[in-house]
Amino acid sequence: MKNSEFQNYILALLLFLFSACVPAEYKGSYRDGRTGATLELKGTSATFTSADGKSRKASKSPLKFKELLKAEEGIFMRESPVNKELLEIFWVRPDSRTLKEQESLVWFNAEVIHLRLRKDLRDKAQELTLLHSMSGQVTLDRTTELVQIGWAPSPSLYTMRRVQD
Amino acid sequence: MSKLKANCVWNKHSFLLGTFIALSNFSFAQSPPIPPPDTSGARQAGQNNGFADGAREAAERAGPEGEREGRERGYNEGYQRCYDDQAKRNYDIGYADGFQYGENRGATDGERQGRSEGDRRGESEGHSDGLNRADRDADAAATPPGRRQGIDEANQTDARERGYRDGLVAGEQRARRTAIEVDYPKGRKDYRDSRFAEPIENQDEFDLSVLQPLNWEKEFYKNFKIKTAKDFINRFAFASPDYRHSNPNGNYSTPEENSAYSDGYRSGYDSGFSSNYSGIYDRAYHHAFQMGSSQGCHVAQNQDFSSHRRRGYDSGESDGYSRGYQPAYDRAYRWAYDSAFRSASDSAYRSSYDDYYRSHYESARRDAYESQVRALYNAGHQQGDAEKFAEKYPLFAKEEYARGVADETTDFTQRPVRMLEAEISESIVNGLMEPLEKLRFKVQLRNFANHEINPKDISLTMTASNGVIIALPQTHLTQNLKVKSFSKIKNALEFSIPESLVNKSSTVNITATYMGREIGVKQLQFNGKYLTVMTFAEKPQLLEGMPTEIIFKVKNQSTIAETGALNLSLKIPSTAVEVITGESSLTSLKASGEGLAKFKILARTSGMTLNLPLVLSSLQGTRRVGLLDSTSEVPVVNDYRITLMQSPSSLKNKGVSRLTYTLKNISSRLVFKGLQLKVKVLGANSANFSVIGPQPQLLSPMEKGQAINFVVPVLSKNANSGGTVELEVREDGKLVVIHHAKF
Repeated sequence: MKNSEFQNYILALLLFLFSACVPAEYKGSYRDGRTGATLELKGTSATFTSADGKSRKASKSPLKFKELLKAEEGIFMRESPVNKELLEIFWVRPDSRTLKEQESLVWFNAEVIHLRLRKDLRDKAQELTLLHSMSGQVTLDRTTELVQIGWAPSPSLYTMRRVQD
Repeated sequence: MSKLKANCVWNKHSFLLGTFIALSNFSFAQSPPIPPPDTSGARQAGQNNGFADGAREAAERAGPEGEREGRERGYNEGYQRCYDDQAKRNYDIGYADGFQYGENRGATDGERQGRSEGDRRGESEGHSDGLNRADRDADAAATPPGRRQGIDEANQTDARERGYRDGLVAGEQRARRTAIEVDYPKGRKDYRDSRFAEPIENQDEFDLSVLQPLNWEKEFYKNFKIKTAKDFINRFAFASPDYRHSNPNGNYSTPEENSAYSDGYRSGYDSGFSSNYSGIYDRAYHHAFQMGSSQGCHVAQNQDFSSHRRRGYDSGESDGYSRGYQPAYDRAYRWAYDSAFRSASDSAYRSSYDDYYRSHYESARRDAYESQVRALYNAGHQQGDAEKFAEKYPLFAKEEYARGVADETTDFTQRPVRMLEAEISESIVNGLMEPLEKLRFKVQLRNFANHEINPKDISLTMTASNGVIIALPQTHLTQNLKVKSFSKIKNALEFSIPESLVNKSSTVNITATYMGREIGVKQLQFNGKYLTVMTFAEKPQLLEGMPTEIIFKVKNQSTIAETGALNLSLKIPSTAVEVITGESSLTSLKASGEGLAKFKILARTSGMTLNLPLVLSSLQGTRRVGLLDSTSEVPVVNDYRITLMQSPSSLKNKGVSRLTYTLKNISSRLVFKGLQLKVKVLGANSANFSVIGPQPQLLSPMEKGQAINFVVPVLSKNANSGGTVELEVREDGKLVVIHHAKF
């Protein structure tokens, strides 16, 4: 590989890796006018207050596979495999009492908050949709390191609108 | 912030690994206890050992093989790409040089050759122009006097007298011919009409149903065909192990256990190899491909490209020559041509005019002479013909009319009976000639004689087009035809059509004879039809694993109402489809009325479109009164498609099988709808299996076009004869697909 090709490869790799973070255009406070639920996205933390007034805060760095295996709470992020400009965010709050493992599968129940954020916005996002389920589930395969995060039917959906910069 | 970024980096890396690394690092955490008389333990141990050895072979082979093939293909790709680029560059340089040289050379050659060719062509075409003008002018001057002379010479001949004499002979021949063609048949017809106009003294009607039926069922099924279903089998190819580390060293006390150990070892070896090979191979291949490509390019760029430059020069020279040649040629040609043309034309005119004049004069004289002689002859011939015809025709007409009457009289003596009409009669009177319905003839006979006709003297015979089943091809009457009678004969002969002739044209011919002499022939055409015709009421669509209603329109084609129940039966000879409800019935159908028959079927395949063979029969009692036998393209329209990535046959063995599924979102746009999966094993051995992992397994939403893989471990408690593994997928609780895989 020539030097110039190697440099291009490194540049592309760095851009690709940094793109996994929450886009800056989404930072700020949001509120669902129908239920009063709120969401605050900051550089290193996020706070979600559901309609019943209960708040959850995540300030840890994004979860790794090994941390998910231990049913640790936090935010798991990945790019959409069909749209590289779309970031899938799963905020997982595990019920560690349900952690089970058999035949390389690890699974547990969890409260799940899910967002889908665009990485190609040029202006600040004014609105986003937030999914919240108390009946979520995380399934991990040690062999392939596949991560599946899902939830039972009829989760709560919030239409969050920006309230301040 | 820097810490966050660092973690993002790790997280992305982790995700990439999770997405792309193939199945690896199998382990079986728990081995079931081994009861001494049971071979299952030996088999399990064999599988475990075989799996490890197979994985070892994959680890040893996949890297070098991927690297070798990647390097070779990369080298070839890089070499070819760079070689092509360099060759094109050299070709272009050569082309430019050659073009300039060729353009100058072309201009010089064009000037020289244009001048030469223009001079030659101008001379030639000018000469032709002079000849043409002389010919045209001479014709106009010579033709009128030539014609006048020809007419004068013709008027001096005996053409008119010759025509008159020939006309007298022709007139007599025409009179005879006209009498034969007109008056002879008139004499026959007048006599025949007079016989038909005679009063009918007796009218009669009788039945000839004396049929000995054929074996109808045998004939029917001989023509009945059902298309077989096509197989829909997906196969996945893997690299094959060479068993270099195969070492099935089970040492058990019984031959059965050693055999079970060997079987398990082989199965485990294959599984371990295939689970590990492709991932390692792919990584080695891609890396080696890049390196090989770069190396190949470097080698290609150092090749000798002088031949390409020469080829470009040659091509450019050719193109440049063409560019320079034509304009120079055109200018020189025009100047030379114009100069030569005029003088050549005038010279040719002067030298050829007199010869043309003489030729045209003689030609006009000859033509006028022949034309005038012909006109005089025809006038004489017409006069002679008319005079002789008027003289002879009345006599000839009288003779031929009398001959016609005499011949027809003789014919009525020899054939005193005639078949007037014949038609097909149904045994099921509903306006339809149905397959296997007994069909017969209704015939009208008239006896013109003054005596009764013996029934044995009258025969009826039938023939038919291919496929028509003739049960009774010949018969004779069963009672006398009375004196001067008109008789209707019912149920004569018998035939039917098979189902293969439904909606096709069939032909039957009936011939009547009296003492072996033909007394009438009728040919009848008809189309066989079922009582009911069935078509799709709406374009069908299927769902994999989910019942779908398929609706047919059933139309009564007959002229009468069908009050009996119609039972409809749908059969689909295809393993890709399961008929849930295959029977339906309609209580009654008005004449030309319609009803709907509904069935339920489901697809057992995830293909986009099925070629669906189907046979829909409608029965009235035990009689088939409708059949739709066709193959239709039917789409399978689930929002999600499931593919099982390997054969589930390992479920027959004791132990854990990891089933890897691919689930693809084909057409759902519901981005926040999560998915719920349930897996179970169906069949008589279902209690023998235990699905490992959460039930249901919950998955995050998928976008349209997205596909994901997931693994479902299933424990087979004992070796077994097989069953069906079912995967049910719901989208936010709503069932979207059920997939079956047999093992």
